[in-house]
Amino acid sequence: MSTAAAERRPDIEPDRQIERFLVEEAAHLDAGRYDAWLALLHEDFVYRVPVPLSREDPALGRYDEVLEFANESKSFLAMRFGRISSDFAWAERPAAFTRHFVTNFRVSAAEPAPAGADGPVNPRWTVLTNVLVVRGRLPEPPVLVSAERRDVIEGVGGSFLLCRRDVFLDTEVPNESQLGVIF
Amino acid sequence: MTTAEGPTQISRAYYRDEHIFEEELHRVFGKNWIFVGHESEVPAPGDYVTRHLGGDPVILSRTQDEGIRVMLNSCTHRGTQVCKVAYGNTTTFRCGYHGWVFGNDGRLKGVPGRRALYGPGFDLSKLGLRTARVETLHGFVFATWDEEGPSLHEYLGDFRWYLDALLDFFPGGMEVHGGVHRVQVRGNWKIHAENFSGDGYHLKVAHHTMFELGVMGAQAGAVEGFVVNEPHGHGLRSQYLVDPDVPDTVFGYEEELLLPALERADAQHRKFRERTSVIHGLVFPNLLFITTAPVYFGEDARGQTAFTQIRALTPIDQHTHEVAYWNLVPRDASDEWKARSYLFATRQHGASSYFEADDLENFRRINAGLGTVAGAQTPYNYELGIDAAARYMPPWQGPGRIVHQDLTESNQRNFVGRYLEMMGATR
Repeated sequence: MSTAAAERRPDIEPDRQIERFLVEEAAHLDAGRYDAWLALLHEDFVYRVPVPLSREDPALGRYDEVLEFANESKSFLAMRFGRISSDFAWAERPAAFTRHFVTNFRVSAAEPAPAGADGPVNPRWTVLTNVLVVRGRLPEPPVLVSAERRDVIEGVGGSFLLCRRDVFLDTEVPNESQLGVIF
Repeated sequence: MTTAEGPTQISRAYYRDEHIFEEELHRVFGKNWIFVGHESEVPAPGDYVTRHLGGDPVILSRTQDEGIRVMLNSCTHRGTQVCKVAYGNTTTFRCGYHGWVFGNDGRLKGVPGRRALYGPGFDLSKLGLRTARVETLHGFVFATWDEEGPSLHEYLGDFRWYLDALLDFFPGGMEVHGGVHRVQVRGNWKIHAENFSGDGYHLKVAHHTMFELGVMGAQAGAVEGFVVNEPHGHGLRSQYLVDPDVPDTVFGYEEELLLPALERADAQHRKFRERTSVIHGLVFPNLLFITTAPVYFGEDARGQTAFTQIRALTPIDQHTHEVAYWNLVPRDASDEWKARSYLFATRQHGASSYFEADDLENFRRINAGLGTVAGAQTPYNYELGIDAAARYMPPWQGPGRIVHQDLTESNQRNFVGRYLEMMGATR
């Protein structure tokens, strides 16, 4: 199951394939299969959680362009997961229970990825989803956190890679347990 | 037992009793100079941000005559918050309940039906928003409800010298990058405050993985640390690289920015800052700061880059506090450097970073371990370093009580001592 997550299925519609990819991707995170999850990330992967802001005028942007709760790259995430095996990773031992619920898929039309050096031009999709994540770690009761995600996903050969993920939280002042989630 | 700085223990009642918590809001947050923001957050007339001054919601605003005001965000009629958003620009705040209108200096400008419905003795000038006493230092805005207490200058005492070294180092001064973000964390605010005031003892355990992963660069090698404290409760810790091959400089800044700063700096300020791997501390009771220069946070964040983060802690209840995070950058640094500095700060000490998570984990575990019956009989211990001999000679000469020893709870004793004094505790 897990190895099939990134495989493309030409026999079904692209948006169904992408939906399937994102469901399997979330399953890796919930199960703590971090190496498998990292393998789904593009080398230039960018993960950003901008800070939500209450503004006077509802028409103004609701997410700050500079401030961010998180800004991570594939190599930085690899550091994060690399330390879990250490006895000193206090915040990750014991591990939290997490459960992603990924819904409301909206898949854009395919666009060509930025041209690489002589390589094939891959298709890219912008995919919006709503996520509800439960995170539980004693001694506090489980917390819920909801967000919209905007992903950029590239079709590479017979599989997909996640190129970018922006996470738009629905709370302006999250707690540290909510921020412990990888969305 | 009590030492020159303060007691060596404190009852857990101060961390779990709700009546003590209420008392704390009055005696500690109502009486001291509390940091509410930075002038660079409200650069133009009419700019405002909303904050908390202890248990009171406040508006920090820049008035039409460019003054700085901190006022209670609560209508003088029925107490409704007159401003509901994080920041903006306005000349007036209109209450959404009955329409009382206040200027951005807090003065009551008008009320609906003033002539027809209120008597001739109704005095607008007495019904402005409650305004706090305000003083600033290098752009830092401090406010207090206490009209009688010391000036900010007196309050900071010898600690001012160190704040000058940190905040008045670059000729163009420091500014806030982006703004503030806030997070709610579990644990009593005082645990967080004392940690920043000078806990060198937790580094190699709590942040062990940072050393393992090479984030700290030379900081993982031989260092000598010192703590400094001041009787108003302030304290800091600074740590120096001992490798003689390391140049005498402040790490992690662009050279064209740094060289004029070094040339202009006071000789002792310079010695205080050069070769430091980290300086962190506390302005009593709840303003925290750290400046450091990590070297590696992934392939897209290579190369030593300094960041300066400040935090203000606002207690929510005895078990929870809100942390506001700001990143300060030299105003004259390049945009590219400012963005990189912010990235390093986010990856090391952003609220969602996994290094920060190790500190927050300890704060919540302390809260989880408070207990009741046996807990109440088991005070926290602050004996570290009491009889330790001086280990090193500090590279600088400056005011305050400078302890020639890194692994000491001198600053925590000083914090706890000042806190208990404010709480009126006999000791």
